[in-house]
Amino acid sequence: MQVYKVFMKILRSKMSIAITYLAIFLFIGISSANNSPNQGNFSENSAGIIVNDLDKSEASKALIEYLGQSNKISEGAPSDREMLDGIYYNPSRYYLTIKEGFGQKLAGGETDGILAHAAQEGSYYESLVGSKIDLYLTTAKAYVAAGSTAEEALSKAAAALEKKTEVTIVSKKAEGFGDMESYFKFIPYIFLSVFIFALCPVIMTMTKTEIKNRIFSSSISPKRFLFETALSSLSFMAAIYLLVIILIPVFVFKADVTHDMEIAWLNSLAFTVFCASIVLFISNLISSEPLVSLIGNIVSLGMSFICGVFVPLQYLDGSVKTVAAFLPAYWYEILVSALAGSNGQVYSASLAVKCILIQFIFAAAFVAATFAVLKAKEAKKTGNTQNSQALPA
Amino acid sequence: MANTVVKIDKLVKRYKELVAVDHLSLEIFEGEVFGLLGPNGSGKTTTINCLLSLLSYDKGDIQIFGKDMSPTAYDIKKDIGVVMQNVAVFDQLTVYENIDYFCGLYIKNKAERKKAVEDAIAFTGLENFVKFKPKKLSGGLLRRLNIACGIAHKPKLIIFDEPTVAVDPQSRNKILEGIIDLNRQGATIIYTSHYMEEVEQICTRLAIIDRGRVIAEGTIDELKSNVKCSETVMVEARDVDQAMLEKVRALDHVFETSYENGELTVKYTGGKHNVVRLLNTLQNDNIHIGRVSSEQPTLNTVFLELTGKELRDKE
Repeated sequence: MQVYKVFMKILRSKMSIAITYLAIFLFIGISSANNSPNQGNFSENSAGIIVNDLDKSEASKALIEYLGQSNKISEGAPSDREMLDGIYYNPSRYYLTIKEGFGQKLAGGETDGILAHAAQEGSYYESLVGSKIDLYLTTAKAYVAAGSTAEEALSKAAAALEKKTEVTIVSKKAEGFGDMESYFKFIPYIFLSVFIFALCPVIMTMTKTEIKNRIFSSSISPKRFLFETALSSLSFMAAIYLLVIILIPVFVFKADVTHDMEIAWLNSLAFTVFCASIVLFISNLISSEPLVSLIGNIVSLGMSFICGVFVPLQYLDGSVKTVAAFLPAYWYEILVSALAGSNGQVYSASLAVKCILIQFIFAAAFVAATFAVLKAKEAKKTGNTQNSQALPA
Repeated sequence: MANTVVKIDKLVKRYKELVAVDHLSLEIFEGEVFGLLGPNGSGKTTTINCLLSLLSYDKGDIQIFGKDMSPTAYDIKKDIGVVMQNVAVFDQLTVYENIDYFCGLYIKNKAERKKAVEDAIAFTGLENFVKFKPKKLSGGLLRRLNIACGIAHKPKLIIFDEPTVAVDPQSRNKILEGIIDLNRQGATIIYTSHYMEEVEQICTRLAIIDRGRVIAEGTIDELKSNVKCSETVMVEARDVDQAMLEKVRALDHVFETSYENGELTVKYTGGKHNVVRLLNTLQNDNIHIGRVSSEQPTLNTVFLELTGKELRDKE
């Protein structure tokens, strides 16, 4: 395994770039996955309510208690100036004044003019707290009309409104790919960058004409050389795949190995195979190492921008999506979105098969293109001679 | 007679319309330092690449160690060492790692390989640079590393393809001495070059190649003996007239005379004491004589006479 060992030794000199890319990716991937909005659960938003209770009745206390269940309550009697400043600097602030006679009027079934409020006009919090109070008073009014005292009506209304609505997102798959979307969606960029920048220069070094001539003059067969070169490249790719696609999601994100996760792994495997094919193609197409950097950036950034890696697919223009459909990263992103139930994608087994298959077809196309490049190079080198003793490229 | 190590028979290699090697035949024997001499583009490297099966060819047969050479003839290749014209080493590996890697393509046994690598390092004088990376080495040291990588596995046949290109004179001498040492240790050497001085210095036999053909083959003395001009004498002389030139031309073994810019040039086909006879003739006619020099024929003279052109551009 002489070729394998040397390949790995040379690859070690390129590891710094791979580690840098991986570290940046892991930092961004992990933090964005942890900070992504939790789409599966809902929680009520709360406002800061400053109550000026002028009634001081059991009924007013019950109202304050009810509002305190989901908001921060503080009592006070601010001036108009203080209220204006408070609303200006804090849009979630809501000033509520419980007018004198609140309890009495409510017992009589009257709800108009018993409260006054100050909040940012038309704001979310004005609507939120306002609708909560309206609902509470309307319910209490109904109980009063049914013969309850004001206190009873208010406590019954509070009990009735305690029940919360359960929300289920129907487009989201039941098993849940969850927060992993924002991690997996960056895979095309990171895999293309790491594999092209780390592997292409090494393969180019190993297959440089002078080195290749020396190797093929020796007693090692070209098949063995190609086998060991391919094996070492695949070992590196397998290690990165294992780390990024399996170990980190399972051990860092504590993700469950669900069917969705297995499909995500398969999707990433298909993209890794595509990366292997493009690495092979670039290594054989160009002979200058500085060009690797240029082409690597064009391929990884270009594909990522138009295929929805950096910008969600739903924001991409139709014509961009049409072009993107001719690139494998697009199909990778479609499946990731479908697994996460985002970007209007709905998961189905047929979609998964389609997306994965298309990526494999792209890989096959690049392998075929590589063979065409090698054939053209060989023809150029041998001058189209007819002797059958030509070496494999 | 020594065993034949390399036999090339009517080798033809074309690059589309260009015939790079044209029915070239050679036989190289065990223990020889065989030179392939020719100007740039004469077909030396193409011949070597065909010999090593690195390049396909259109016609002809190649045998090494009595067996047909082919890309899959690994039993033959294990006994061949190659030192290419361009340095072929990995920049990312140290001197030791480079030699160990290329030696490892031939020798699998670790202990045996370690010994072979250390021998190669000692042979090329790279002991103090084993941990250096190639980029830290001077041009001469880099060439020595290139040689060490090619010879570490102790091959029976070593091919040097212009190993001294762009090398300083001191390193060049070291390399040439090393090649002679390898030959003394039993290796058969094929040495390609367009530097006739190097070929004259180390080769026991040589072939001169031009336009893909062998135009002369033999030992250096044999090749020189085939040249009409065996000596050229040049004399700084004043007032040499046509009558004087006729007198000189009439001397024994003289076949050509000329007088230009105060310098008389006389070419001889053979004979001894040519300079003394010429100077006596000139002095008898009271011709004032300045600097005198005499040149023996070189391989360039041989090449010039065979092709009508210089072996290489004057540097």
